[in-house]
Amino acid sequence: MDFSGKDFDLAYTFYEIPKNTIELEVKKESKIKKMDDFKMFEIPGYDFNIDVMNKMHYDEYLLDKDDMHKYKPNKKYEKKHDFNEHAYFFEIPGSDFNYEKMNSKLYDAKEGFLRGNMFKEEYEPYKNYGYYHIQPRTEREKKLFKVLEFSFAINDLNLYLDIHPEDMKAYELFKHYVKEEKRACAEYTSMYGPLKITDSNYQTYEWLKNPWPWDNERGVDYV
Amino acid sequence: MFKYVKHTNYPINIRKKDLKMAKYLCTQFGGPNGELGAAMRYFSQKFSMPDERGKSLLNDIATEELGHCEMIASMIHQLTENATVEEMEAHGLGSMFNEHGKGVYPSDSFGNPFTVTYFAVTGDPLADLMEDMAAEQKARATYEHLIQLTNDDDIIAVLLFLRQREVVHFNRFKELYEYYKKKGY
Repeated sequence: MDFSGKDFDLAYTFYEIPKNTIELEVKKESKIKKMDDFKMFEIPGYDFNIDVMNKMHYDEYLLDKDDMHKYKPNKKYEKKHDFNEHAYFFEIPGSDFNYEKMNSKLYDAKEGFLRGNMFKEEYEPYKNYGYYHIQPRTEREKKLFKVLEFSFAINDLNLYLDIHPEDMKAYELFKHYVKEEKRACAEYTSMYGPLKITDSNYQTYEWLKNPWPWDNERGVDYV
Repeated sequence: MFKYVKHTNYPINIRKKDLKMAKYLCTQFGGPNGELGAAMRYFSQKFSMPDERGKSLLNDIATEELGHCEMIASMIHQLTENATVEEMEAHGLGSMFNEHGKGVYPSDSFGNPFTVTYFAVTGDPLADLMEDMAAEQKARATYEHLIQLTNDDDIIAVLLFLRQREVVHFNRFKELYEYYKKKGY
């Protein structure tokens, strides 16, 4: 295994915050308040509010308006709203379920990671600095950034769940990111060496090998 | 126990040597508002938190802050590793080289070594959490000062990330504080 690629060069692209950011945030907030009336994973009981259900337009909060151009609606959910059709709300979400868009309070893992904050309402930029969009230049960096993104999302949801353990939506999202992080780690470690001491599916002992996270230069494209 | 993961929270890859910034950044490792103080503060306070929420939150933020120590120390290491002794002396790091060579030592930007007197443990959850909230605000302010002191994007990107984490931690501590207040702890 060769850990000495010489092509490491992180590029930062500076992003200005768009002027209409504040306006967008206000719109989102009003939407969130509506959503709070509805518990996604509740099993319907006597107090099940069918009126709230019928008033909802699923696609409206599955997709944030400003993200519409990026995500195509999932065809599965383009159905008329009658009670039986709503059964999918209580399904165990499958692989095609868009967890990140499900919860409009949160950024997706990548954007949260770049901003340092998963929570839209809590993000506080410093003056006009905005945040940096990091471009991975190599396959190795791409794979490592996936690990960083998911491990960031896990970390931020972990802190939130510590004091909101009853928020099942957040817990479902947390479990989703745990799965994604495992997958991303497996993909990285199978090619570039261990991230945890227990990653040990190698011919020789790889753990001690450079680079360590504080190394740079000397051809290291690690972070 | 703790288990090490061989990557940082956010990429650290400083390309330009900058001894002045290395000196200033020291304080976020071992200074009064730095990450080591934060990690040790929450780590020590967690033992007297009255319920599961407090125990887990302080434990988990302490763990994250320990990772941030490594990030700041990595930045200092990368900013100084290719410097000559003459360059270090010319940028006010002569004494630092004298004491620590090219090692990274937890001190403030004046060279005063890290001390646990930077934080308190009262055993009172409300008093401790109020201190934690103030600590996050002081760390945020220090990151903002550091951002104003440099034009290097490699450094600013990391500082903006770490600053935002202080904002998040403040919010979590505040939520817990308000919850405990209601509970009557």
